[in-house]
Amino acid sequence: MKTQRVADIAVGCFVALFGIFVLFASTWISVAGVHRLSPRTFPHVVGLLLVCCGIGLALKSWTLRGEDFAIAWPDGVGIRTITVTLVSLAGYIALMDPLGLPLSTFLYLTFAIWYLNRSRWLMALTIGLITGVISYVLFIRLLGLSFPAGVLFEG
Amino acid sequence: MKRLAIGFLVLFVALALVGVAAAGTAGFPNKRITYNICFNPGGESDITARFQEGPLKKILGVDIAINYKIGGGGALCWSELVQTKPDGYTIAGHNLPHTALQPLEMGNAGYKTLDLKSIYYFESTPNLLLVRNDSPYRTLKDFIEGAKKTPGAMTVGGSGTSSANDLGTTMLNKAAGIQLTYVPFGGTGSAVPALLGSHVTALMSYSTMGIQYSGKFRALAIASETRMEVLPDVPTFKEQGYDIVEGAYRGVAAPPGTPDDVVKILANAFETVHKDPEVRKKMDQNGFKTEFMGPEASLVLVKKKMVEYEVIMKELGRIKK
Amino acid sequence: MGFSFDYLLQGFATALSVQNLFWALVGCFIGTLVGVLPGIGPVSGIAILLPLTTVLPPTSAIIMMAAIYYGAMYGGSTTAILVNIPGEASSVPTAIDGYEMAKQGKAGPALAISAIASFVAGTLSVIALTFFAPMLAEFAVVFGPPEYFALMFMGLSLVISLSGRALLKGLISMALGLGAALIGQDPLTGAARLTFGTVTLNAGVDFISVIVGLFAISEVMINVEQRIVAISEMKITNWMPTCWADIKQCRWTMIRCTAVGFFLGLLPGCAPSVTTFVAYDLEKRLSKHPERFGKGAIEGVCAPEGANNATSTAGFVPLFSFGLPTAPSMAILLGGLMMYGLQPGPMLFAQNPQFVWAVIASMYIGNVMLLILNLPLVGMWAKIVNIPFYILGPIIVFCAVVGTYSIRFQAFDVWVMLLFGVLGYFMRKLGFPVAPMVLASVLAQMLETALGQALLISQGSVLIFFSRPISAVFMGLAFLSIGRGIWAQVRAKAPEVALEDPD
Repeated sequence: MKTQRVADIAVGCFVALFGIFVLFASTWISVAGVHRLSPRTFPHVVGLLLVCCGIGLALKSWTLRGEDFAIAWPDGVGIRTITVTLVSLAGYIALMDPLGLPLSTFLYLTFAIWYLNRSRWLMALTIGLITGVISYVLFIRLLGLSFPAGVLFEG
Repeated sequence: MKRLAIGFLVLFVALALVGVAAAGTAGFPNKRITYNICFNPGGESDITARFQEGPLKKILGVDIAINYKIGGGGALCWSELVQTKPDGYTIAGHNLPHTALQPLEMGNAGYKTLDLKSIYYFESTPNLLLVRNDSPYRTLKDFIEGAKKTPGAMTVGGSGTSSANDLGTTMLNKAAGIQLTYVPFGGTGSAVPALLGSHVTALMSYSTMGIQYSGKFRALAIASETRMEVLPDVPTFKEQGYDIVEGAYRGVAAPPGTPDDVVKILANAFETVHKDPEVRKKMDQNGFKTEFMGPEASLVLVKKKMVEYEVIMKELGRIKK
Repeated sequence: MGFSFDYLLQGFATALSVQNLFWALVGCFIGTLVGVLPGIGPVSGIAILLPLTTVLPPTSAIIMMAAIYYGAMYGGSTTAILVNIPGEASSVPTAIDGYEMAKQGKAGPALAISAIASFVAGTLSVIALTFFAPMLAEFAVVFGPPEYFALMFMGLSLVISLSGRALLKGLISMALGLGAALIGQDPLTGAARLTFGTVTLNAGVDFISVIVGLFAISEVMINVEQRIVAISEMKITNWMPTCWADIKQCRWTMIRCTAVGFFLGLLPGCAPSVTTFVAYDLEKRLSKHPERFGKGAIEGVCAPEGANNATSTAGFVPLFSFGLPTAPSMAILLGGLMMYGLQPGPMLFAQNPQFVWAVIASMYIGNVMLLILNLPLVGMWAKIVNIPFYILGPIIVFCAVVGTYSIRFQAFDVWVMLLFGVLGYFMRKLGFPVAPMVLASVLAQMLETALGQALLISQGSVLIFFSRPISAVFMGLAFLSIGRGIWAQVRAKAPEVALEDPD
């Protein structure tokens, strides 16, 4: 999928398939009750729209005669950076409930800042620590919001 | 720069430690309770919660945060409630007949009636049929005659699907042999503008709206056993020959699995609030009938209603036999 | 309800007392703070300060609560401009052009115009409220389900113009937004849709998580991939020199967005998120150079901000005239009123004029206060974009996660945010416009509810939308818009499918 045209064809097909899936999934919707507008109508419209536009997009790109553009995909380093960023974010979310907001925030920030700039590990640590503490003091204590306080502070 | 950072660090850690030390002990409740309202702002559930907010805070010693979760005639709110942590810090308004009817009528309401753990039922409001003051229908008789002439064309707005208003309209249809179209709104708060703007012919709403909008709306009939004190001029359906007694009970519920002692603390709090003469007076003036039903009594009521409604719904043809 | 200068002056006298001024200030400050965090909106802000209100006299308490409400509107736009995190759905259009301006080093002027537009719109709206409240209230109830549907449908037709030349992709984006909004329970019948039997999906996908994901997370991903040093390395332009020129450029914009925001805001249930999009789109269409929008057009920041403020003010009209709160934040104010023994309902205004006028007077003051509070801080806020990204990026993620989690305190919402972040990243790479998805997900529920109700009223006939004057007008505008969009596509032919204009 190096160029826009190829990408559009691929995406168009994918979208159309997704639309078919949506149409299929909406057949499970129960139509019980009294109403003029069936609960299935909008999902069907969405599915139909996806199918039509997906096919339209694929066809239009296929028959395209004109300039084609390369898509600016990231290079190897870029891909690695994004992947690590996403995985660490996923980890943050996953650890939030068991470890609590302050601790998981500290871990995430320290890691993320360090990863983006290896030389400043002390700053990463400091900011991680401060933010972790702020998240506890401000959100959990002062504002009383129901974030999980985690292993360190629960009780 | 580093020194500044370390300075801040120490400061915050100190603050945090102070915070932990000064932290309250356990004992429910020790932080804010979230009170979810299942209908639009401005409706009965909302108004009641507003009356209760202040006194509850005094009694329980913590803040009450009122939150709205609107949709599906309340089904959204209740289906979310059954997934919430049962620690007593999240409660939701509890309505009958809605919570009994919805699991029966909707394919999958997202919750089962008995999943909602009743804390307290504190009020009830009978259904009230309202039209605008300038409407051609002066009495229930006129209204029914009008409906007979134009089956399906007259619209009655109300709060929610599979709710008291909804059921009340179906009951009227059956009892009078007419065909009114019920139009569900997210709550009384959004149904009222519809009548104000004449988008619907009438509202099947609650006694509270009869009082609040007495200057703009005319009440044709009330669905209670006898006339309400605060609405002495409104004849009951029964008086006019239609045996319709229906309305909504309102209370609060907690997620399934909430510890009984937590429920008891909440129940006592609500009871105290409604026993307060000031609150009692405000409720009466606004058209609410106060009830006092703790966790056990509420459960009994819910079970009784479940059985009753199943029969009624089958008779009315709203669910299959 | 009578209007008399006497009442208004009395109101000012009350509102200008040192005590009330102080509490208004506190409210503005806290509101701004609260608005900066995505997911924690004015509702939570007011809820948090509830304890204070029991010790305050009623007038001061209400003044403070109203100030929080306004302040939150300002806060939401700050993050939208600086780091592409819309504080609420209503700040999304602001983020579109505001963030571009920030990248170009013009965060200062963007923030400044946002404060100024809000002030102008707010003041004009309060004036309208003062003099025309009863008439306006009548206008508000003229909209019934058919009119709402027509309005929302017209809103959806904005997708055409928001998609630029990428119509098919815009429609796909819109369909995906509609689809995401459908997940959960049908608003009228409660039937479970696209939930695959899971209980978690039954509550649906909250659009704050969608928005934060699409904007903030995908932006972080792009920045990380490109290894940028900071959001903007350019020296921050001082907003002051260009201030008058900017205001002059936006003067008509400000008037228009106030009108749009105010009139739409009168309608119960019409959220600020809708009015800001409409105002933004209106400016784009009326502009002589619409291609500037999406690349840092200052009108693109001015319009949604003004509309936002106008809508919030207009929300007071149904509240004071009918006792009908049109949004959760209004309901909290109503609750505050009721706690002090005031009767909700149409009689509120008539029975307690001094109180109500004091609140209205404080709204004027609140507007001034926010302007004074925010303008000097613009310079400080604007420097944020210079912070090295290796620090700012993770902090943005932290704010996004906290904000999203605080919607329902369920990790599920944060996962949704991550998912839409990845989706947003791919959408940008592949040239899909993001705005239609947001617009559709915001409109979807009201659109469907109104359609269902309207069809019940008309007994199934679609003619109802065309036989009623107001809804016929909106439907007409919608079809006009759609027709024009398709015509432009067909005429241009050529390669534009490949050449999508990303946002």
